[in-house]
Amino acid sequence: MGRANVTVMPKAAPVRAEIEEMFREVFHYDGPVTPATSPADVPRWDSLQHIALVRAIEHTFELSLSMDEMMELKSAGDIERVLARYGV
Amino acid sequence: MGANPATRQREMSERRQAAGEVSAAASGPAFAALVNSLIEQAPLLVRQKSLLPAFDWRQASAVQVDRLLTTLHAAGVKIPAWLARGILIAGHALPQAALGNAPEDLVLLQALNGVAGGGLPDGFARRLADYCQHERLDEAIAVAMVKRLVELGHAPLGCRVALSQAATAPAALSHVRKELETKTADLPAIAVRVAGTSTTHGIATALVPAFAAAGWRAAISEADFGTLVSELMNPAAEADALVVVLDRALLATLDWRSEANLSRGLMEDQIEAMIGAIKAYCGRRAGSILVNTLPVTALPAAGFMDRYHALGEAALVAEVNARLAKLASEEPRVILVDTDAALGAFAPIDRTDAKLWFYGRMAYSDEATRALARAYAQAWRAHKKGMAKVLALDFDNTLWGGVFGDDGIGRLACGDDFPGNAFKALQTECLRLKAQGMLLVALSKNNPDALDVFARHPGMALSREDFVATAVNWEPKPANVERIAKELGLGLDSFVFIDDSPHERAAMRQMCPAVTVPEMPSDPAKRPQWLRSLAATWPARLTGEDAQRSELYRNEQRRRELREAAGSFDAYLAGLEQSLAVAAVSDVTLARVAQLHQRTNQFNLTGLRLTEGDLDMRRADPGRHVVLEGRVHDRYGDHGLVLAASAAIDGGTATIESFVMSCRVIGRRVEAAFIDALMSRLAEQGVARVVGVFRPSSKNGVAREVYASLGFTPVGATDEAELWEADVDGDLPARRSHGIEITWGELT
Repeated sequence: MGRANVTVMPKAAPVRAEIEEMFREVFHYDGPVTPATSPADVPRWDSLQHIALVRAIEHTFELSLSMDEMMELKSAGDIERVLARYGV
Repeated sequence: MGANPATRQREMSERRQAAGEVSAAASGPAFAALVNSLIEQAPLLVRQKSLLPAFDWRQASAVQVDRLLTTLHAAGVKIPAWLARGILIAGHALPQAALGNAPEDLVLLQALNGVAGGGLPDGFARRLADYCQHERLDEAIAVAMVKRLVELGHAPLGCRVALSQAATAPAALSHVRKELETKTADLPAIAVRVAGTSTTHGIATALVPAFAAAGWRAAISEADFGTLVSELMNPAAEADALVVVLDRALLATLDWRSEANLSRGLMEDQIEAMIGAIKAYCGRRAGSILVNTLPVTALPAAGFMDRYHALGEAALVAEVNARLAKLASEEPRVILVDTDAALGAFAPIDRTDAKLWFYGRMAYSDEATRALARAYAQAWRAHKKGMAKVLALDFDNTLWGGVFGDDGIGRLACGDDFPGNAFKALQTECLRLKAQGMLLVALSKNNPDALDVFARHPGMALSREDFVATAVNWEPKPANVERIAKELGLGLDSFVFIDDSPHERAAMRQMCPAVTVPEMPSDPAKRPQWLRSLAATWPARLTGEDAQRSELYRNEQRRRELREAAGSFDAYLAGLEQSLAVAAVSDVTLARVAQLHQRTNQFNLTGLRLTEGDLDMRRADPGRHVVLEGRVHDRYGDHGLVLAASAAIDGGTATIESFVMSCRVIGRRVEAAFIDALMSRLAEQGVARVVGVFRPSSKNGVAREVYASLGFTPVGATDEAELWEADVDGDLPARRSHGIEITWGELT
């Protein structure tokens, strides 16, 4: 892949809503999700539940994250950023 | 994986719907115009199966869906199942006529979406619950149903649906998370400990809904990672069930630098150490151990030699599983869960997920983990509840093709050629179940001569003698089942009803809700496998008694005839020439005595359900416990092991903590002979006074008068229990007059 011209879709808000939904589902977390939301804010976001989050992302957006990308996800903003690479 | 983009997109959209996500609210005039032109073009798009499959119908209003139906109707285009499905999972209603030959789960959802207000149609709840119990629903349909049920105010039913589908439609659970807590609060609680060769977190999580679906509220605790053997040797917590999760990691320590046979030897030592640790656990703890087998390997480690090479993966898996099978056959408290059977729906390569493995040492894929959790819970249930006891079978178009009354014997399909071979195969499955201890009952709306079919038609696998009871008449089937249940002395909950007619099934569910009424495939070719798949008929642990149960019940019929013929009851009993053989419970009879405790509901004085583990512990402490078993024999044959009692000794007093007797021998005074024997035995142990306990339940009314009839003195009663006592050397008339010969076997 060369330098693909990554267009940031004008869809940030809907993706945020989907991420919030996943946080509710996976972490039972009802608080607001911002790009800065990280494991420090979400009590159940430990290394074991992290994999559940990854599965939820893969399942919802029908994609497969690499090991590196899995480790990259340290906040809700990271999730949006990685998803943007897949055109979500 | 290689699906085309349209399919992928459709799946993705469905999955989002399945997950119940609020999709991006597409709106605005441009979008509305787009939907409208989709609807205008619908007749063409349906024929081409283009665009519409990808459309999320939650984006359309009810008015738009109506317009779609009108457009298609005007063009003479029928609604295909895929479109009906898309519309229904979005929550829209569809007229019944729009749904042609759709799958049952879609029909059920259609009915649910069509409900106005809170009331469900008559019998709908039972039909839905039954269907979900036995069938796997499409995930999106399951989610839509659960959401709809919650909306309609039927959350408990929604919980049932979600729990029954938890293994394959986990998203459905999230719509009833709160309701589930209330619903499971009433279930009996058990402590479940989980230990394994890899990370157990996933399965520990999945076990909660799996056990809830099986009828228990499981409090789960996990052993630390990698501590399987030390957990077995030195359990950190008491548990009713220890779930041991094995996987390929057990084989991961192979040393490829060593010579193969040496490496294999080390491997086997390690496996033996684990099996030894399980045995040690059995010796020390009372609970059950549920262990799974290793799954079949997806890829060989030794190519074409994999089955016989010392380090072949298939060879090692077979070795481990053979040793586990041996362990389970020897240790009554080890319950073996067949991983390959549990994961049969997945290809071996899909049972694992490399990413999960390397990320967190999770040995099974998500789907496989949930399916495995369900298998553990089902195995637990089978061991606790026992298998169903009676298979009630319809004749026409169930045991044979065709209708006896219309076609005559010659035209009935059953034999070695198509299509009769499918019916014969179903009969053979019935014979298999009979051999495993189930009773077969004939239940047919026919003239009685329909029973002659078994002797006169050359293709039948079953014979008339295979049925312990028959109801071949024109009475309603529920009434017949009730009568037969009474005759056999069994509860309706022991019955499984097999009938091809949806009408008869519905009537049975309505009139006899305790009877298990599985849906039956309409295609006879699918039925033999379907019958095999019914978990209610799976034996958990076979005792010698199970295999002969049919014989025992038929002898009972002969005794009944004698009773009716003989004048007085005393004369009848004398004519029976009964004898009672009493012994201490032994290795050989442990399983049967535990089974008697689990299964007996009527003549069960205290309701204490002693397990093999409980019995084992009492056996190990003969100074404080006397556990006796009794076999009854009479001139018509052997009843087998039908009595058991356990007495706890404290100084000069013994309390009869459990006393159970099979309903096969109720009403012939053998309980008096057995108590006589127990009291003699207790006297030898230095006991002076015996306390009998009666704890009433909904089913044990028949045993209420036992201690009174034996001459015990009432010494107090609470709401929960009545206490009776007697001196061991007191003169109890019942001990003198039972007239039954007692013989003694091994007492240690």
